[in-house]
Amino acid sequence: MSKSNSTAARNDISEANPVPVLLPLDAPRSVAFKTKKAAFIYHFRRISLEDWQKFFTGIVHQTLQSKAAREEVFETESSLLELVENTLTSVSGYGDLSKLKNWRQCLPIQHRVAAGVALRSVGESKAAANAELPILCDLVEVSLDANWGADSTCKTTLYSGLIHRFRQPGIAELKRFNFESARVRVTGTADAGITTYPARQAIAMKIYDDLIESVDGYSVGGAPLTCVDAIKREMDGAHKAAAALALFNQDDEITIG
Amino acid sequence: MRDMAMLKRAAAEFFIEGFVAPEAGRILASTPPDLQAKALESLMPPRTVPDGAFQWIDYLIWLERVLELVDVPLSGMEVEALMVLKRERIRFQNGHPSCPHCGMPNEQYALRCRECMKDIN
Repeated sequence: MSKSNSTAARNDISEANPVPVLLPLDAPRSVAFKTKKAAFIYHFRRISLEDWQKFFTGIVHQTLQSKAAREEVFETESSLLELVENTLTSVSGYGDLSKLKNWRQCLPIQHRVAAGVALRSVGESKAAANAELPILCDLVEVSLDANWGADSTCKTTLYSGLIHRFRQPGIAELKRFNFESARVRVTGTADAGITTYPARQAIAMKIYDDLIESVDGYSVGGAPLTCVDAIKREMDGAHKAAAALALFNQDDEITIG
Repeated sequence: MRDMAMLKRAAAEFFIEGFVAPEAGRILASTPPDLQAKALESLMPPRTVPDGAFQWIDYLIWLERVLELVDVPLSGMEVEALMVLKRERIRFQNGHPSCPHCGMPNEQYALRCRECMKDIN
């Protein structure tokens, strides 16, 4: 991912206004961004769990080793472009596209990447990370912030404090997560080998379903998402991955004394 | 990771890295930040197997710690890999006996501990 594209997407979020409403998982999504000359809005169909699975497994993370030389490859752009191309329904800001044979591929690549970055823009809440005291309870709470949609005025809606409550992961889940994360594929020889790392988000998405108990802040059909089966079925894949990864990465620094 | 020969080689390199690391850390602490990457490269023994093998070793080390506390079902591949790791650890320990004073490993014929500097024999 190029630096300029990431910055474009983040600028949208920083301009956003937090709104205390439920995030509508079943609503079509849109991403708005501006350049110096114009403003654009990309409209997407609902992004399915299969779309996300395909995106995460398409991320290339490899290390190439030849004797002492070592090169790391981390490439997300191809997979991001594929996600955008498969889910994009319409765009505005480019004029009449009806005469173009394949308008999706005619869109500027940096715009498509920026839209893709905005689609996957979800992460652990900054407020939660700065919280002072942990509260002991049967469930582990993870709080997310996410950029979801934009309105016609190019204002992006940022949802803060989206809560995911998990039951405490047992040793079986921890082992599964660590095992799957370590299940690398090594091709070539020991001296000149390629290590391909698994997509941890794809693994996290699966484990999310085993551990989730409840969520706050999401709706489907205008009603809050309450039942566990509905959460597993309706929850956005990127949110599943982000929440489960935050659950497994709770590394507080411990100081004795 | 099913290649046990590669795992064996990686385990041997992993233990040697652990042996060299404390001294490398001390040298790095007094090295200017802009030279640290270069210094680290020259201080640490080069890895001769793909990184994936080391990722797998990290998992096996975690699994060993878990098994000290609780029984977890293991696959045949995990059992075989844990045995390779154990054999390589014993081989390393035989070649690097612990200091009787501080417990840190030393070269086989060292007369003085590289950590606490006390006489070994």
